[in-house]
Amino acid sequence: MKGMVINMRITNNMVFDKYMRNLNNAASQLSNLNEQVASERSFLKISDDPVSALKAFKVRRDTSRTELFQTNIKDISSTLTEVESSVSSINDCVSNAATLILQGKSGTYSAEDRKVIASSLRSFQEQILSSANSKFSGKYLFGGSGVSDMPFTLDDDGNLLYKGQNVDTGTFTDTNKYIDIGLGLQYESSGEIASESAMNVSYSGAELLGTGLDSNNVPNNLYNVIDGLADMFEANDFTNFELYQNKLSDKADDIRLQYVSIGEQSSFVEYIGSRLDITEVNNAKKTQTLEGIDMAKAIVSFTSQQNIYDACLKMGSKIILPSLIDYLN
Amino acid sequence: MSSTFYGIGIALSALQASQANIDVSGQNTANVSTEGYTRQSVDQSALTNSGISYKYAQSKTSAIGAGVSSDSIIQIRDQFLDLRYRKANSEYNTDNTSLSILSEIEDVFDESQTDGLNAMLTDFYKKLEYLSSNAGDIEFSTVFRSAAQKVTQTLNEYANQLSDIKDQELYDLNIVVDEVNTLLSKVNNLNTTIKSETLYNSVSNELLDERNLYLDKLSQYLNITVESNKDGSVSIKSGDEYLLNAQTAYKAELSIDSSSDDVKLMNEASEFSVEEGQIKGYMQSLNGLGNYASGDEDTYTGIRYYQKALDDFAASFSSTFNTLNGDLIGEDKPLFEGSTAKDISISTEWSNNANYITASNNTDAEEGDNDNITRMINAMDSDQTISSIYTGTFEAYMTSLMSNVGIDVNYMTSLQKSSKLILTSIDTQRKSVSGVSLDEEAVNVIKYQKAFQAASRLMTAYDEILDTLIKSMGIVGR
Repeated sequence: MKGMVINMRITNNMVFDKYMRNLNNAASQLSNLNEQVASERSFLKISDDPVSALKAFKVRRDTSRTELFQTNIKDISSTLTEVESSVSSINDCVSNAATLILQGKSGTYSAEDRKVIASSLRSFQEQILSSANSKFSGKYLFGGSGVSDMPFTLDDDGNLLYKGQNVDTGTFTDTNKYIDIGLGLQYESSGEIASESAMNVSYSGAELLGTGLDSNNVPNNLYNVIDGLADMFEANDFTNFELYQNKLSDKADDIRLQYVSIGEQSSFVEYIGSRLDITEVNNAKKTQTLEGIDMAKAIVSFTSQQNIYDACLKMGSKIILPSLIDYLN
Repeated sequence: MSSTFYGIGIALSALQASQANIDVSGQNTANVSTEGYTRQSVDQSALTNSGISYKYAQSKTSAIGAGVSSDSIIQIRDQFLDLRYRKANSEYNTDNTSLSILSEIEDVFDESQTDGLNAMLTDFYKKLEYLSSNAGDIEFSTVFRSAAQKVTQTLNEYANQLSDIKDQELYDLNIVVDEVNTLLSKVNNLNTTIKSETLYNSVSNELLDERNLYLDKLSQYLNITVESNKDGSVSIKSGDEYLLNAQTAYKAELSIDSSSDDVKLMNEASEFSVEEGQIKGYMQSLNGLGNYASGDEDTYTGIRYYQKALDDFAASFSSTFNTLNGDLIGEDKPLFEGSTAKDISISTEWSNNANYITASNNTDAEEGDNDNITRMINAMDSDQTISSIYTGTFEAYMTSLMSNVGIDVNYMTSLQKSSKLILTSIDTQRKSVSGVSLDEEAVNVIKYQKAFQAASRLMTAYDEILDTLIKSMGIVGR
C-alpha cells in the first residue's frame, strides 16, 4: 500500500493478510478476463460499463426497428409490384380498346363486323374487372382499406357496383391505410395521420376506374365507358360516340398517370429499403463496438494476467513460511 | 548498608522476571494466529529501597536498588485505533450489504446476456407493426397477442423476483438482529466477569480480547461507540441511545417490525435508528423509495423504489392500451387486466379471441383497416406519463430503469472498494501495533534466556559469597 511508514512494525498476520488480498485480486481479475474471452462480450452486466451498456441497448432497439421496417418495406414492395402489373394490364386493355373503336368506327366495317368488335370490347371489360378485383396473398388490392370483400361486383341488372354501390350514382369514401416505414409517424390536428409520415397502401378501385357521371352524362367509370361503347357497336348506333371516345382517351391518360405514380412509389420504397440496409450494417458495427471485444487484445490480457497470478502464487511460498525461528540453532 | 541476603533477593527477582518474560513470549508465540489476540508483555519496574526507614539523613544516596518487579502483564493495544476501526467497519458493512442487495436487483433487470422486459417490449412493438400491415389476419393477431402476453408474464416474473429478494433480505435482517442481541448478552456477561476480576486486580487479558472481539463483531452490524467505565465494564451506545449501559444495568432488546411495507428496527416498543452497519444496509435497501420519497422517507434507491417503478409501469401500460382499445368507441374493451406488476395479465376476453383488438375506429370499418392499430403504434412512440416522476416512452422507461440499477451498482462498488481500503489500512495499523511477530518473539526468547542465564550466574555468585561468609569466616585460630 502506498504511504506506508517504512519503520512500521511488521507482524506475521499482516504479511499473510496482505498476500491473501493480492492473491484474491489477481484471481478475480483472471476470472473476469476469462469470462470476457469465453462470452466474447465486453460487458457481462450493466454495472461493468453503464455508459456503453445504455448505448448498446438503444442500438439493440434500433436494430429491431430497422428489421421490422425492412419487413414492412418488403411487403409493400411486393404489393406494389402486383398493383403495378394490374394497372399495366388495364392500361393495355384501354389502349387496345381505343385502337379498336377507331378502326371499328371507320366506314369499312359492316354491322356484323361491328358486333364482333362489341364482343371484343366486352372481353376487355371482363379483363379490366378481373384486374381491378385482383388479389395478392389472399387480400384484394383495390378495395381501399378493406381487403376481404371483392371490391367490384355486378348486380342483377349487370350494373357495376363498387362495395355494393352503383359506380355511377354512389358516394365513395375510401379511407387511407397507412403503414409505418420508419419515417416517424405524425398525427395532424384533425386526428389523421400526416401523409408524409407513413406509406399509404390503400388503393381505391373507385379512384382507379372512376365514378359518377360528368356534365354530359357520360360515366366516368372506365368499365361503364367501354360498356357504353360496346352497346353502340352492338346496336350500330353512334350517337354520343365522340363524347365516349374522348372520355376513353381521357381515361387512358388517367390510367397511364396512375401507372407512373405507382412506379414512383415503387422507386421510393426501394430507396427507403436500401437506406434501411445501410442502417442495418451500421447498427451491426455499433453493436460489435459496444458489446463485443477485440479478441486478440482480450486473449493477451488474459494470458498476462495468468502470469501475474502464477507469479503471485510462487511468491507466497517464499514470504509466508520463513521466520527467524527457522534460522535459530 | 544492605542486609546479608539482599543480593539473593535481587537475583531471585531477576530469575522470576526472566521466567515471566519467557512465559509471556511463549503465550504470544502460541497465539500468533488466534483471532483478536493482542500481544502481551510484562510490565516491569525496577524496585527501589525507600529511604524512609532511616532514622538519620544520609550523607549521600546509598540505597541500592532491590531488583526488578513484574508488575503486571499488559496487552499492547491502541484504543484510538479500535475506535477508528469500528467506525470504518460499520461504514464498510453499510456499503457491502447495500452492494450485495443491489447486485441481486441488477440480476433481475439485467439484459446484457439474456432477454428481459426491454426485449419483450421491443418485440411487442414489432408484432404490433406487423399486425398493422395485416390487420384482421388471425395469424398476425395471435402472434401479437402472445407478444403482449410475454410482456405481462415478464412483468409478473420481475415483480415476483423482487418480492422474493425482499423476503430473503428481511429474513437475513432478522438473523442479524438476533446476532446483535446475542452479542450484547455476551458482552454483558463478560462485563460482569471482568468487573469482579478488576476488584481483585487480576483481569485476564484473554477476557479483554474476547470482549473486544465481540465489540468488533458488533460494529459490523451497526455503528457503536464504546465507553469504558472505571470498574472495568464497558457501555455501548449507538448514536445517542444506549444499547448496553453497565452503570444502570440496562440492555437493549432489538427486533424487527415488518408488519407494514416500511420495515422498522425496534428497541422493545420504540423505534431505534442506526446510521451505519449491516442493519443500515438492509434497512435502506428494504425501505428506500429513491426518487419517489417524500417527506422524511428514505431517499436511497432500494427495493421499494423498483417495486413501485414496475407497478407504475404496469398500471400505465395497461390503462393506455385498454383506453385505445375501447374508450374511443365508447366501449369497455380491456386488453389487459390487473394494474400492478404482479397481477397484470391478458384479459380473459382477449385470450379467448385473438381478434379482440379494435383495429379501426372508423364508423364503417372494413376488415383490413388499421387506423386504431397505428394509433397504438403511435402510443408506443410517444411520451407517456408513466409515473409521478417520469414522462417518456414505455421502452425508454424500462431501459432507463434497467440502466439505473447498473449505474447504482457501479457507484456502490466503488464506494465499497474505497471503504474497504480504509478499513484494511486501519486494520493493518492495528495488527502492526497488536499483532505478534514471530521474529520479535524469537529475539525476545533469546534475550530473556540470556538474562536468565546471567541471573543464574548471579545467584551462583551470591551462593559462593554466602558460602564463604558462613563457612569460611571466623574460623581463624580454630
